[in-house]
Amino acid sequence: MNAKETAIRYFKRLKGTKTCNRVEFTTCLNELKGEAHNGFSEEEVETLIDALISAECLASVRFQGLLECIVPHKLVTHKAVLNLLQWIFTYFHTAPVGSLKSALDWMIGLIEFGLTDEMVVHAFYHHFYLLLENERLSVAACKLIHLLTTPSDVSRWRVKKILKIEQKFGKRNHTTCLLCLFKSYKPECVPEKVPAVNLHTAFKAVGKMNPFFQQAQLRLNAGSSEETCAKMVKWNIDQGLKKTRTKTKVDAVPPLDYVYFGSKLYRAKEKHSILEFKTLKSLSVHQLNLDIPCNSMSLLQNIAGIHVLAFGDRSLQSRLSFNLYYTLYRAFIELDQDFSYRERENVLKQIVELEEYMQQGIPVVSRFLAEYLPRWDGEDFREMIFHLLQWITFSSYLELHDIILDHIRNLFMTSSIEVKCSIIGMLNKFVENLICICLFRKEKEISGLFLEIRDEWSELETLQNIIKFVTDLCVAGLTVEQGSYLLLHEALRFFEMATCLEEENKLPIWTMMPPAVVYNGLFSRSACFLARVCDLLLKYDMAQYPRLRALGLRTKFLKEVNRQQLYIADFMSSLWNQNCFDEKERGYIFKGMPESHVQSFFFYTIPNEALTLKNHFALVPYVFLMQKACSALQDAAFDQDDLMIICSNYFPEIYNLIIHESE
Amino acid sequence: MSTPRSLTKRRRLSTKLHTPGSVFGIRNRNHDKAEQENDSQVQYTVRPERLYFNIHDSDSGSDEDYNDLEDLTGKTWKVFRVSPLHNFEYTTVRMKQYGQRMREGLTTLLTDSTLDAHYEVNFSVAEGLTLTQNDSEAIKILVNVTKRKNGEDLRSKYYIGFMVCRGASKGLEEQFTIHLPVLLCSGTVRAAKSVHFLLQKFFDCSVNSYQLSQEDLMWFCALQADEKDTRKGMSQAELMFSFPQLSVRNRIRFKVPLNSLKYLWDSIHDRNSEYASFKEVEKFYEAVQQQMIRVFEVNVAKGQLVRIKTPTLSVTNETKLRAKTGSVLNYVLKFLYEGTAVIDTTTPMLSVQRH
Repeated sequence: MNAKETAIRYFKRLKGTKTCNRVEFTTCLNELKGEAHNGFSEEEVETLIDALISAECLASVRFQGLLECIVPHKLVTHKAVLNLLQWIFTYFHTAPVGSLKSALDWMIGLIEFGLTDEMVVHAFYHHFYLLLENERLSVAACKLIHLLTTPSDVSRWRVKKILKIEQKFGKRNHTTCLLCLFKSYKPECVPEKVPAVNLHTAFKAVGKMNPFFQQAQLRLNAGSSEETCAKMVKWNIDQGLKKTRTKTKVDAVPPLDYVYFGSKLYRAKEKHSILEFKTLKSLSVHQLNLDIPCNSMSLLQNIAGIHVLAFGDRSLQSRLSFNLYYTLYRAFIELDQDFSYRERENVLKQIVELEEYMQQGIPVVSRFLAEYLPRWDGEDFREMIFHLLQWITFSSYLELHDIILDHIRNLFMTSSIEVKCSIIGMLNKFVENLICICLFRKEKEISGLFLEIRDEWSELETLQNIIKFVTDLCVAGLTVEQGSYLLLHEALRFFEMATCLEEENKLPIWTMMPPAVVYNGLFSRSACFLARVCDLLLKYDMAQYPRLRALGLRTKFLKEVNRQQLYIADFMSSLWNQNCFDEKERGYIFKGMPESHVQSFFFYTIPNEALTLKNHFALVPYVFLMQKACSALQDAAFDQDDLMIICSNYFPEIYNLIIHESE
Repeated sequence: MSTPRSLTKRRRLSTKLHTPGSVFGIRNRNHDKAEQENDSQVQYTVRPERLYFNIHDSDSGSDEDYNDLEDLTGKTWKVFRVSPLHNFEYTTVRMKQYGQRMREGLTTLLTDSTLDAHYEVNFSVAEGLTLTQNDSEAIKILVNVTKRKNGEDLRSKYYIGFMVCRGASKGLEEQFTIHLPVLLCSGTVRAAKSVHFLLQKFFDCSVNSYQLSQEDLMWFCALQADEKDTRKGMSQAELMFSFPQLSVRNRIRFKVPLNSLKYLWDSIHDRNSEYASFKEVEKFYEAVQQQMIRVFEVNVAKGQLVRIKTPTLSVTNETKLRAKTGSVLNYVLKFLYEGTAVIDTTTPMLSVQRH
């Protein structure tokens, strides 16, 4: 039994005793103090509270000392809270004032940090007014009332009570504060003129339990994010207690707050405040009755707010647009020092979430990007900016090119290979979004959620231009980086995606791989690239060409057909027919190579056979491994047919291509 | 964004005198008139660039029309840009409530030294500051503070702000949203910050500081040179520059006789045209710079123009402005308004196209 448990046992035994051994008490107390930063489990808290209230021998100082150590691990149960409250109200005439005050402080700390269910404490709301009569307790009681009051609690009777107390003890800051709060909820109950008082100074004397409770709150928050059954939504509410808001850094996404002008009686409809909803489901059920907070930007803080924005009405979205634009302009282009790096990153992150949620770009964000890209250094917030670029809106290709794509090209050419890859990846997603979402919406003639915007650009031409731009970038990148595999992979991914989407959506476009990609694949040391390129070539032959011919567009794509035949000729003559240099005029890559040059290859190898399956440097490692693993194959020479068998098992794409083209 | 208008027509558009202020478009980046290759020219820019500014609002003529601007002349203002205000009502009841709320807000925000301070906030409509029928009425915000010092109550002005809209070409379509883009205020930095924070909270708007670019200051230079000077004696214009090698606080002031500026301007500007074009302004400014380099032997082209001060107008690039007469203030306000034009949030178009 460790020291902590002994200490708790000691306190349990104290219950009912009249006297206590001072030394033992202090040692146990110190033990508990040491454990306070970890917090106590719920039963332990209950035991300690029990001990606290039932031990009659505890003088005020010891009471306070013990109470200060009682810090929950996460939450405090109803039972403990109720016990303490009952004790307060039973003994508030007789118990020492210090103990009562510290008990109230503890309660305030629990509520401020959200460590207990407010409803339980609220049940005693009416009784707290009794505590106001005691001058020394009134500050703490006022604070507690201030925290717990909801608009429906305000009544003239209560106001009169407070006024009576003011008459008795004189005008104090804390009572004025309370009156102010009541007045803001229901001005008709407080017609007297109430001076405005700062909350912080009014309640300065109260609430010293902070450090440990803060830790408990952190523990609580860390835990709740793991709950997946119901999506718990946490709101960053403006508690009004932050001093010197104007001195510290400003939040780009302001905290949620409601500002009402005029009495509640005159408000039109009964609307629900957003803060009432803890799960996404309940929020969406009441979507039409929601009261929108005063700052539309504050809804960007979490997924529930984003949901409200996405399905909000036109005026809300307009407001958001204006504020979003000005905030972005101020934070990124005017580089206002009030915004920290993290704040800016946060804003961008939340905008990305909003756009992803709505599956639509926001025009003001696109305009902001257009202004920001020329000044961007390519490094700050790179991930977020790329994400935003995937959803960019525009009205014609020329505009897009001049304002956005030009800068992207510059960035591409001047950055490292990883950034090049992410740019190609980003453009990949961009084209995907255009095809899957924008064209889809156009076809169905529906508009997006945000301000019902429709895209006006001409579909096919724009798409073709954008794809051509990406192809040029790929080629340039591969040339500069000398066929780096990272880039090749991204480029191949783009072409695979394009082909797949064209097929699915039956678009009359044929995106063909440029020679840079094809021949980098043919000459690569990785069999996977070879396989992928073969697969794509086969698709062109078997799927794309027949489809387009069926649509009657054969004449439009003559160049592509030609190109494709050249590629196939090269592949077959290199891989299978063993005459790639003899037949070089029929292909693409070796065309026009002078004979003397070909002759010089004889120094190294037999040129015609260098790229065949049995000699291809991408496949040789597999052969070597096979020979190493199996002794029977040690000295065997592998010929073309053997390799075809291997390919049919491991690289079916190569196999299929060769079979298909041999017919 | 406003569309380019016809240059030559001079019509009265409404009973409130309003002639088109500026013409926007894209400047021709090619200085040689000869080649015009279509492909290499930039077709699109994001922000429309000012091509022409109408300075001869002269059909309005006399100074009496500017009496309404009396409140604003002769004082130094800091200018802010405000996005459209949401849910702002012009009724007296609401104005009172806004005042009250702001008072409470200020008391909570501004603590430490002002424990005994009591604030009074007053929202009111300032008459006569509008120009066209699409302009919303201007709002005046007045904050007074009463401090207790040595047993006496000292009442002083803490913050004055005017939210003005002057020269709107069309109204905003939304209900309950009004557009008062230019905010002229005077008060300490802290006061301004607190008041603006509360405004942003109440009406869901953004209040940003308005920065003037070098180009804008060039325009002001030219416009001041254009004015008819009825003063006797030599009046001087003072141009303040900041240089990269000097620290931020050290700026160099150059005093230039106003007559020479006028002379330069007159020789460049075509008197018959109502509009001052960007090309003229550019040429004028270059000429001024060359002359200054020759006379003062300081290469001002390397520096940034920070402030222009003439007998009638003083303007800095963080936009602190002080105008002595109503007519000057009139066109300054028009100029400032154009810098804050409303963004169309619904079209996906990113930019302005060259026609």
